[in-house]
Order: sequence, then C-alpha cells, then structure tokens
Amino acid sequence: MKSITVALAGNPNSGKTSVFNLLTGAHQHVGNYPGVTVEKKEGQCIHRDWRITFVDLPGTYSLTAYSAEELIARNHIQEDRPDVVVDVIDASNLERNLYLATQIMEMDVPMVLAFNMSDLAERRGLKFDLDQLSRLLEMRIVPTVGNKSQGRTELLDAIVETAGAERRERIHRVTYGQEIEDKLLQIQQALDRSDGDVVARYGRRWLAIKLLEQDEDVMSKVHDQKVLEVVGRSVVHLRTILGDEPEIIMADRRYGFISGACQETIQNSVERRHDISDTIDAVVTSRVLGLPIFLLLMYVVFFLTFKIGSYPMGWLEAFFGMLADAITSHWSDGHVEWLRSLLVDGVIGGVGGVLVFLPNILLLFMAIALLEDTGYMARAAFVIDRIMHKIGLHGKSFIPMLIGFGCSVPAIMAARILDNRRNQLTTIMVIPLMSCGARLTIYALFIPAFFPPHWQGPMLWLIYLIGIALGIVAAKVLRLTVFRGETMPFVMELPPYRMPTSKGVLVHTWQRGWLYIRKAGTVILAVSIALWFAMNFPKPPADRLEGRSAQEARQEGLRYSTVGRVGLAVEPLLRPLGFDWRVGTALIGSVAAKELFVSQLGIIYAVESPDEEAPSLREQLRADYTPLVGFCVMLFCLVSAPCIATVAMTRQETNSWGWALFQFFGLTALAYVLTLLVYQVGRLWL
Amino acid sequence: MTFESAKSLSPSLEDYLQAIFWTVAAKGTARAKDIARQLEVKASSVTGALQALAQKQYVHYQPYEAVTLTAEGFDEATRVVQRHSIVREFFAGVLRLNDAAAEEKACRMEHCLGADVTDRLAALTEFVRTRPEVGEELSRLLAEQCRVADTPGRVQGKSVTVADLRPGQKAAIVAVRSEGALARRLVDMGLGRGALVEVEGIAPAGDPIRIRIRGYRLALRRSEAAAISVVGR
Repeated sequence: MKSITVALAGNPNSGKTSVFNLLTGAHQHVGNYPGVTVEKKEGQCIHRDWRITFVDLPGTYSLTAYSAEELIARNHIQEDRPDVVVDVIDASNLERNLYLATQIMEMDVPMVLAFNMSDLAERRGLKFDLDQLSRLLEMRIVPTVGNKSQGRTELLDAIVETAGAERRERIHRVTYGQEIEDKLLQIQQALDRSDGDVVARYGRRWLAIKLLEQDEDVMSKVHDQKVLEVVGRSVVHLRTILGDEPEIIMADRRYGFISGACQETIQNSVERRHDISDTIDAVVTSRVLGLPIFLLLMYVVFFLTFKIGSYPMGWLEAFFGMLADAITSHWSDGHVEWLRSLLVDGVIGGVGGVLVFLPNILLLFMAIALLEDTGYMARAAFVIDRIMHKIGLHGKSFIPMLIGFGCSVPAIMAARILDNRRNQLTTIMVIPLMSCGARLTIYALFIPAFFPPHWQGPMLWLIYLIGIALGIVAAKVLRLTVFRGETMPFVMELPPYRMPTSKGVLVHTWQRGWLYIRKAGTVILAVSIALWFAMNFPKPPADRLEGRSAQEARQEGLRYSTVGRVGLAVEPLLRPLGFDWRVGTALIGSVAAKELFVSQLGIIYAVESPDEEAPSLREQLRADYTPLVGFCVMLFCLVSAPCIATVAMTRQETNSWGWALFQFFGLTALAYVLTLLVYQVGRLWL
Repeated sequence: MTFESAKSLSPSLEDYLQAIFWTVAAKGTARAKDIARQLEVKASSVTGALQALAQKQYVHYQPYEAVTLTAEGFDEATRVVQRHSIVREFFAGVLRLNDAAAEEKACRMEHCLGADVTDRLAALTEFVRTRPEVGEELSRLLAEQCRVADTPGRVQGKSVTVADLRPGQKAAIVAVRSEGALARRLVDMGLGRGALVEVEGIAPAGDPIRIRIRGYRLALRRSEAAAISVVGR
C-alpha cells in the first residue's frame, strides 16, 4: 500500500469542511498548529491501494504574510510538500475562489480542484465547460456536493491519479505584463547567483513573485543583499511607471487571468436576479429590524446554552452525587477515611466539575455551528460591529462576551470564531469581567444580608454594570497597550444563506466537546485534586477535635489545612480591603469554582446547611461585617482571579500559560486596587 | 507631438472606450456584440473602432475574440469615464438638469473639454455639494431666473469613494488608495481596478456597509470603503 499526504485548501465558506468530512468520515483528529491557536485537522482514508492522509488547511482567501492562517497554509504547502493539494472551490462564486487557486498554482505543486456546490451553481443558471477549464488550469477538476456526499469516489480517483502522474512544466500561468515580467526575470537571475538552498526549496519564480510583492516572510528568508537590492530597485521602478504598489497590480493581473479563463468556460444563461439571500438580508440587516432580530437570536443562543443546558447539567450532578453516596455508604467508617474523601470529594468532584461544563459547551457550539452554517454569523457581526468597534473589538466578539454572563468557560472557547489573534486575545482577557452565573450565588448570599429590600435589585444591576464597564475599559486599554497594532481590516464576506446539514453541525459540536475534555478537562481535574489536598491537609491532631460537633470539626479542619493557613497568612494583605482571614480562606477556596465561596464560608462559620438561603449565615455575616465590606467582597469576587476552569480554558485557547497567568494575576491585581480604593474611600464617607 | 496625436482619440472612439470600460467592469471582458448593443450601433462599425483602438494599443483585440483593455487603455478609459462623470455631475448637481438630460448632454459635450475646464467644473461641483446652503441658494436662483423646477441637489464631487455611494448605486473601481495589509486584502477580495461594485445596504448603526462585488456579498467599514475610489455610472 502506498501512502500519500493531501492538503485541503480553499476559501472560507467554500464548503471545505463538508468536503473534508466527506473524504475522511469519522477518522479525524483535531489539534492546533504548533505555537498558534489556528486549528489543525487531520484525517485518513483508504482508497484502492492508497493510504491517504488529509490535512485540512485553514480557510483563506489568499496566501499573503499578513495573517497567521494564510502563512500557515502557505508554509504547509511549501515546507511539508504534500503530494497533492486539493483546492475546494465554491462553483457559484468562481472568480474569487479561483484567486486562491492561481496562487497555489504558482507554488508548483500537483493540484486537483474540487468544484463544490456545483448543483447550486447550475441551478443559478451557470453552465461550466469543465474540460476546457481543466485544460486551461492544467489540473483535474471534480464536481462535488460536499453536504450531499456526492463526488467522493471521483475526487479520490483524481487525487491518486494526480499523485502518480508525471510532473510537467506548466504552459498556462498568470502573466503579469511586460514591465513586471521583466523585473521578475531580473530577480530570478539574481537569485540564481545566490543562496541555492532557499531557491531549491521554494522555486525561483515563486520567490521572485513574493519578493516583488515585498512579502515580509519571504524577505526575511532571503539574506543575499544583492538580491534584495535588485528587488528594491525593481519595486521603486514599477511604482513609478505603474503608479501603484507592485503587489496591488499583481493581484489585479491574477483577477485578469481568471476573468479570461471564466469568459471562455462559463455561460450564464440567466441574468442575476434577486435571490433568496437578498430578500433575507433586506430584513435581517435592515435599519429597523436588524437590531431586534440580532438581540432575539442572541437571547435564543443564551437560552439554549444555559436554560436547556441546565437539565443535562442537573442529571450529571445527580449521577455524580449518587456515585459519591454509593461509595460513602459502602466504605466503612474509620477505614482509610482520607482515601475515601480523596475519591469522593477530590476525584469524583473533580471529574464532575469537568463534565458539568460539557452540556453548555456542546449546546453553545451547536448554536454557533447553526449560526455559522446558515450564514447568519457574518450578519450578526455586521449589525453589531459599530458598537464593538468603538471598544476596539470586532463585531463577532459579541457572542463570547454575551456567553460570559452564563459561564466564562464556554465563552472563552467561543472566542474561536474571531479570526484575528489580537481580537481573540483581547476578548478572552476581558470575558471573566462579564459576571458569570456562579458568581450570582455569592451576590444572592450577600445582597440580602446587607441591603434593605428596595436596594437589592439596583445593587445587583450595579455589580453587573461595573463588570461591563470594566470590561469595556480593559478591552480599550489592552488594545492600546499589550495588543496594540493596526486594526485588522473588517472586510468580511457575507456568504449566501444556506440550509445547515445535521451531520456538519453534529461533527463540529462533537469536535469542540472532545477538545474541551481532552485539553482543558485534564488541567481542571489535576488542579481540582491539588486543591482538595490543600483544603484537607494537613489534618488537625485528633485531640483538637475531641468533644466537638461535626460542623465544628469541619471548621477546625479547614482552619488547620493549607488553605486555612494561607488564608490566615494573607490576612494582613487583605486587611486594607476590609477582609479578615475568613473571607480570605473562602476566596482561596473559590478559585476552584466561584460558587464554592458560599460553601466555604458555611464551613468556616460552622453553619448547618451552607447555602445562600441559610438565614443563620446571613445573620452571622451581618454581625461581623459592615455593608461596605459586603459590597467590597462582591466587587472583589466579580473582578478577581477567574476560577481554575477558566484559567485552564484560557491556557488551552491561547496555547500559552503566559496569557492564562497574565489574566489570572492581572485581574486579581485589578480587583485588589479597585476594592482597596472603594473600601478606603467608602470608609471616609460611611 | 506626433506621438501625442497618434494616441489622441476622436469623440466616437472615446465613446467606444467608455463602453468597453463598463462592459469589462461588469463581465471581465467585452464582446463586439455587447459593445454594439450598448452604443446602439451596428456590429460592423464596432469592428472598425476596435481595430483603431487596438492600433493605438488601448485594447487587446483579435477578430471573433473577446476584448480586454491594456494597462494604457485602462488609464485612458478611466480618464474619459471620470471626465464624463464630472460633466454629468456638474449638469445634475449645479445646473439642476434631470438625470437623463444630464447624461445625454454630458455625452455630447464631454469630448471637447480639456482638463483645465473639467478640473474647475469638478471643484465647483464639490463646492456646491459640501455646502448645502449654497445648493439651496442656487436652487432658488435657478427657479426664479430660469423657471427650473426645484430638483434636489443630487451631487457628487470629484473624488467619489465606495463610502459615498448610496444603496442601489453601482460604480467601477478606479483605484485603491491605501497601503499594506488593507490594500492587499481589498484587492485579494476582488476589489481591484475596473471591478464593478454595488452598494446593497447599510448596517442599522450606519456602519459597516454591505456591497456586491464579482458576484458575491461583502461587508466593510466606511473607513475601509473610503479607500476605494470609484466612478459612478
């Protein structure tokens, strides 16, 4: 059996993913390209006596050095040299899709065109002379309909045939006009006299083209000063006689080549008339209805993720509760009790803590897949971009920020929909400031404890608004400092509305869920268990627990544990905020999960049922703290250290512990300064 | 000077060049029968004109093949089309002629105007456009003196960009005035010279806008659209 590697290239929205699913079925592996957050998908299939490995390149419109995705796609083709590159083309949008093809052609690699969604194009009245186009482009062209599983065998046949075929020099290629071609030739001659290594790897003509385009990546790889001098002179000369940057003229000429090819091979039997997408857009992006429809759909996404998600979450919690009970009841008392506790509270609690987010993530990504596959996602960004742009973000940042009000973990994962790294990072950093559902349990305990009924509603609003305001300010500040740089062009395709397929949506949803469990899940589990140790060890000596009730024993245990000791040790640091060791200990415990803050306080105060309804806990709090301190605790919980699940997710999505820790300590520092200010200023007034 | 005259065009050839420009903008290339239909002339006269234009190296032309503009031809066509648009906008915006009359009279008059005149017309039109109070005063004057019914000042200045177009308007791109990543991105997406754009709508908050280009839909912010110079049809 012969093995070959095939790279799948194509524009976003060309149906590349559905062709990839069609070719590889369920045999897929999702990961990241090393060092970046761009997703890397691989899959395999066996066809006749060939074992074919498919690499799904990021969807791109071009192959410049301006974006990470384009660089990755290009470097993969140039450096890993796949045996065949399959370019997936949306047949109903041929000109722009072929633009990428002309650039891959220039890299001199065997190619096959998958003429996708050819059924749609034909229904629109387009007739293709594929034989003629195939002769012109010198490659096999196979009509496919990815979401209806048509054209698989033909495409695979074309791939193995192309892989086995003898390589020939191209006859047709994009010619850039006399002036530019002259300069390309001069640069190629200069290259011939210089470092043979780079030339051998990338090819003379491609290097010359990229040098003339002043491609930063290629410029940095060519070290010969003589070559760079020739390039510099050529660029200046062309700029003068053509009146524009060579790269712009060259892009124009590629479209010229495509127009020529299309003219000869496409017949359009119907004049373009209003299609269904125009009609939908006229409503969905209209001045009057655009925003209401957007808000309604965002509400549906939120509702689906958290309201519907709460049922399976409940089942999961019940299941793990039962499991824990079963172990506790079968494990006789006094028999290595710490191991039982580790198993029940540490491991089962930890696994449960991981899986409890899964329903949210699956449902959210199902909603996102639906929005993306129908084509609405681009419209959502279009409608809200003006407002998001004001705070230095992209229209698409809205969804992750909104989901942040439910839970930061799926929200951070949702920031994947942003295709610019700086936008994605900024969004991830500020998401924890959107007050999540878990923090609501803290407010629910504190607000009624310290504020009269008619102040309770406004108080809750105030906390949420502070979070939003801080998020806006933080995003703005980050864009001006850490993530400074040219705002990326918005320029975004509005794909035609399409009916999503259940298979596409399910595959997408499942891949996200699995990625979460495999990557973030393991970190969450490990830290949960570590935290369990810190909360339970060292154990107080047996004589200190004598004659105490169960609650008092737990209280003593926590005070004696690592967490309790740290809480006590940091008390001097927390004093200026108005907090004592009890709040400190609960805060440390709440790093595992924000809602744990309440149960930790319960243990510390040794109350019987430590939940937010417990009047005794509220009364004790009221006795020990002023309303100002109560407010400060809420403020600190809102802003400070995101929970470990969030840290793990940030680590996964940014692919760096650096950013995860920056977020963790940055937000904690912000919380500290802010609370300090509020408490100290507040004390003067109240 | 002999070189100049070899390159200069008769009014009728200028009309042909404009027709080719618009057909290429819409379809990528032009066939003789498209041009004949647009100018309402016989196919046989088109052949003669195309040969003349090919001789001046403004178009690539072989009998029975589609016509495309040379780089030089594109620049010349842009000049002619822009001049036409300046004269038409002056008639419509300053003299308050209705659209059809402005178009027709511009067609007849444009050929004899040099850059010295069109530059001033463009400046004047721009002046009226950017000062609504002047426009109103002008309308009142024309209504009194010439009994011109008041038509709203539909005026475009000299440097029109995609950001200036209203929904439903079509225009051809003449230049992308930006640098680096944005310029390249725009051209990569097909917003290069000669392409036809149509503004389809505007977001509820007034920004971004959505356009149609090369048969697909694209959204871009006004600040980005302002980098794309066009001539209106």
